[in-house]
Amino acid sequence: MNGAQPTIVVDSVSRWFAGVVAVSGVSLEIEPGVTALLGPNGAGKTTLLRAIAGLIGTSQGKVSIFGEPVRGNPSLYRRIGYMTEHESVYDFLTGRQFVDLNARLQGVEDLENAVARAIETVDLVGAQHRRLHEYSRGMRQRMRLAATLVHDPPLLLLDEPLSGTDPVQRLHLQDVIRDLGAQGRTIVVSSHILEEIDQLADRIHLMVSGKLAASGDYRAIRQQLNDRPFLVRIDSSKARELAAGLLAMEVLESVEIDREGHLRVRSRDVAALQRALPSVAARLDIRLFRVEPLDDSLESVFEYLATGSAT
Amino acid sequence: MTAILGLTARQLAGSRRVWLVLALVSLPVLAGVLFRVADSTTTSAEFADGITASLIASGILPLVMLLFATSAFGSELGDRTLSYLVLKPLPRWRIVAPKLFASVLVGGLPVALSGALAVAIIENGNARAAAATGVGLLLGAFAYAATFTWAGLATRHALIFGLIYVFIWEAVLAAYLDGIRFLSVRQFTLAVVAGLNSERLDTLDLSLGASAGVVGACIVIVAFSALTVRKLTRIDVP
Amino acid sequence: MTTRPAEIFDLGYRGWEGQRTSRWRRRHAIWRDGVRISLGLGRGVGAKFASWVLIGLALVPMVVLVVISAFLSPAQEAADEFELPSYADYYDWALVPLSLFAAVVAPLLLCPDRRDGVLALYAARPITSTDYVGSLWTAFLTVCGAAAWLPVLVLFTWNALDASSPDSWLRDNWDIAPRSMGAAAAVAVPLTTLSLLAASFTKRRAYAAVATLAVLLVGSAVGGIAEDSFKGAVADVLSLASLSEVATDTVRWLFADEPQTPPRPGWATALWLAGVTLFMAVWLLQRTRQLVRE
Repeated sequence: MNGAQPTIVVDSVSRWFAGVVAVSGVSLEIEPGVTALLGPNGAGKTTLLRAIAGLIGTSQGKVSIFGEPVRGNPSLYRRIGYMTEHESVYDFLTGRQFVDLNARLQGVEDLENAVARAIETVDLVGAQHRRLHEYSRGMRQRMRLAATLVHDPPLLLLDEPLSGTDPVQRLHLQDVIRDLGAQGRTIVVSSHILEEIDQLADRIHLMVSGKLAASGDYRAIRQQLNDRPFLVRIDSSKARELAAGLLAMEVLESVEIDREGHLRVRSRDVAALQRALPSVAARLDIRLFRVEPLDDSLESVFEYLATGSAT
Repeated sequence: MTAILGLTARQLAGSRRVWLVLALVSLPVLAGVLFRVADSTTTSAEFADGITASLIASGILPLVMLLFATSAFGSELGDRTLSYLVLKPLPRWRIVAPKLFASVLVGGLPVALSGALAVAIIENGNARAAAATGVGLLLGAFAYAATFTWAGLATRHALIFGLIYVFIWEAVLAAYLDGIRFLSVRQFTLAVVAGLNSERLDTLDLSLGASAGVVGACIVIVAFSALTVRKLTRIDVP
Repeated sequence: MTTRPAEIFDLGYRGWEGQRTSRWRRRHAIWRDGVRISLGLGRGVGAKFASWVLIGLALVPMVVLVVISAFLSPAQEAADEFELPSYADYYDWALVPLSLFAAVVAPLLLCPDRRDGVLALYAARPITSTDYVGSLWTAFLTVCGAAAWLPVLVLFTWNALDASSPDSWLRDNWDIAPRSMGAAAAVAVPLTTLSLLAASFTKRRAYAAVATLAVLLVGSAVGGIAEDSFKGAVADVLSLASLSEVATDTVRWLFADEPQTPPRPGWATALWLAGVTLFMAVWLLQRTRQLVRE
C-alpha cells in the first residue's frame, strides 16, 4: 500500500434506529483496490454502506471520502458510484435510457460514448433498447451496474452487486469488478455470500451484529485467531500409529479418526506440526498421502466469528 | 433538470391516471356546453362562478394536485428509486423544482386550461374572464403542488393529511371560521381570479383581496418548496 | 467397514389428505382478515390512524351532541332551544368522514395484494374470485356499516332514555331501528362497492382514494350546479349524478323525512341507488376475475 490518504475514513460510526443499533462503533479505512464488506444478514453492512454514501446520517462518528464529509455534500457524488441493494429501477425506461438518465444527472460530457461504453462493459448491448420491466433479475443488476459506473467514478460502493445473477453472469461481473479495481479505483463490495467474494477482494472487513469483527486478509485473520486450534486432515498408510506418534510430540490438542479411517488433528501451532509430521512419519515408516488444512477458508473464519462457536 | 422533469412527467402520466384526469377536466367543459345548449335558470356569470368555485377550485383542482404532487416524491420513496436522484452532484433544489413543475405540468395545467375553456364557452368568448380563470387556477395549482410535494416527501400519510386539509379544513372549517380564509389555497385561487377580472366571482362572497391572494399563494409556494429542499437534505433515503 | 442392507425413502412432497375445512371457513378467514385490515388491527399506530380518526369523526359529534343534550335536559328552557339533529339530518354530516374512510381505507384490502403479487397465491387455493372479493366486500361493509349505524343507534338510545316514558316511546318508535339499519346500508353499501371498485383498477392506494373521491365530489358538485342552474328534466337527470345526494335522499325516504329535492319520489331515488350499486358490484366482480387470472 502506498502512503497516500485512504479513500474512505470511517471514524467511530454508530447508527441506531428507534431502539435497534444497526452499526456500533465501527472504525475503518478503505484504500484503493477491491475491499469486501462481509457479514451475515442483519450485520449492518448495508447501513454502514449507506452511511458511507451519505444516504443516511450517523448517530455518532464521522465519515469522510477523499478527505471531505459526505452528508450534505452532493458535489462529491461526481466521484462516487453507489449501487443500492434494492433492485428497483424506473421500469418504463429502456436500459439505455436508464443509463443515459444517470449519465445526464451526473453531468457526464461525451454522453453517447460514456453510455455505450458502460453498457458494453456489462455486456448488455443487445438488450439495451428493451424496457427494464422486461429484463430478468440478472440483467437488471448488470444494467444498474452500468448506470453506476457510467460517469467513471474513482470510488464504487456496491451493495450485493451479484445478487440475482446466474453463475455465468456472476463470473463476468467478478471480472468486471476485478478489472475496475486493477485500474486503481477504490471498490467496496458487500455480500453475505462468501464464494462470491473470496476470489475478488484483497481485503475484507467482517461485520457481525453491527460491530466490526475482523479486518484484513482472511488468511491472516485466521492466523490471528489463535485461541482456536487448526483442523488438519492427514491421509496416511497407518493412521493410528501416526496419531500415537504425533500425540507423543505435544504438538496436538486432539486427534480424531473419521469413518474412512483418516486422521483429523487439532493443533495450535501449525508450524510445529509441519516440522513434526515428516519426521514422525519417517521414523515410523508411514506413508503420507494427503495433508490438508480443513478450516483455512473464509467460511470457517466467518462461521467462527459470526456464531462465536468453534466447530 | 429537464431530465428529472421529463422522468417525473413520465412517472406521473401513467395510462390510468391520464384517463381519470381527462374525465375530470372534461367535466367543466361539458358543463359549459350544457349551459349553452340547455335551459338555464341562472345568468352566465353565476354559472361560470359556480363552475369555477364549486366544481374546479373546490373539487377537481385539489384532487388532481393531491394525486400528482404527493406521488412526485411519494412514489420514489415507495419504489425505492429516490437514491438514483439523490446520489448525484446536484444541489437539492434542482431535484425539487422539476418535481414540482412536473406535477403542475401534468395535473395543474390541464385543469387550468379546462377551466379557462369552460368559462370561455359559458361567457361567450370573453377572453379576459377565461384568462383570469386560467391564471388563477394555475397559481392555485402551484400552491397545492408545493404543499403536497412536501407532504409526499415528509410523511407516509401524505394522502390522509392532504384529504383532511382539502375536505375538512378548506371545505368545512373555512365556511364557518373567518380567520381561516387567510390560510386556504382555495381562497387564494379565487381571490386571484376575481382580482384579474373584476366581473368574475362577483356572485361569491370573497373576503380576500387579489393582492392578498397572490401574496398568500407565493408565500405557500416558497415556504413549502424550501421545506421540501430541507427535508431532502436530511431524509434517510431508502 | 461392512455395508448393511438398508434403504432410506425420500417421500418428497405429499398433498394434504386430511380433513379440509368448509367453504364458509375460508370465507370467514378472508372476512376476518378484511375486518382487521379495515380497523388497522395487528399493525402499528400509523395503520390505525386513518381508520380510527375517520370513524371517530363520524361517531364523535353525535356523542358530543347527546352529552350536551343530557347536560341541558334538566334546564328546560335551554333544552328546548337545543335541538338534536334528526336521524336523516345527521347523515348529511356523517357522509363526509364515511366517504373519506371508504376512499382511503378500502384500497388497503385490494391494492397491497395486487402490488405484492399475492393474488396468484389466492388463485392457487380453492378460493373462487367471487368468494375472495365477496368476503373482502362483506368485511369492509361490516366496519363501514357499523360506523354508519352507531351514531344513529346512540341517538336512538338517548331519545328512548330521554322520553318521559321509555316503554311507550319504544312501542311507538320501534320502527326506527330497522329504518336506521336500512339507512346505514344505503350509505355503507354504495360507498363500499365504489371504493373497492376503484381499488380494483390500480395498485397504488393513493390513486384509488382519489378516484373514489373524484366520483363522489365531482358528482356532488355536478348535482349542486344542476340544482342551482338548470330546471326541468336536465336538472333532474344531472342531480342523479351526485351519489352522495342520492344516498342522503334515500336515507330521508327511509326515515319518512321530507326529501330535499322533491323532483322524484323517494322510492325512485332508492331504486336508482340500488341500480347503480348493483352495476358497480357486477363490475367489481368481473374486474376481480380478470385480476386473479393475471
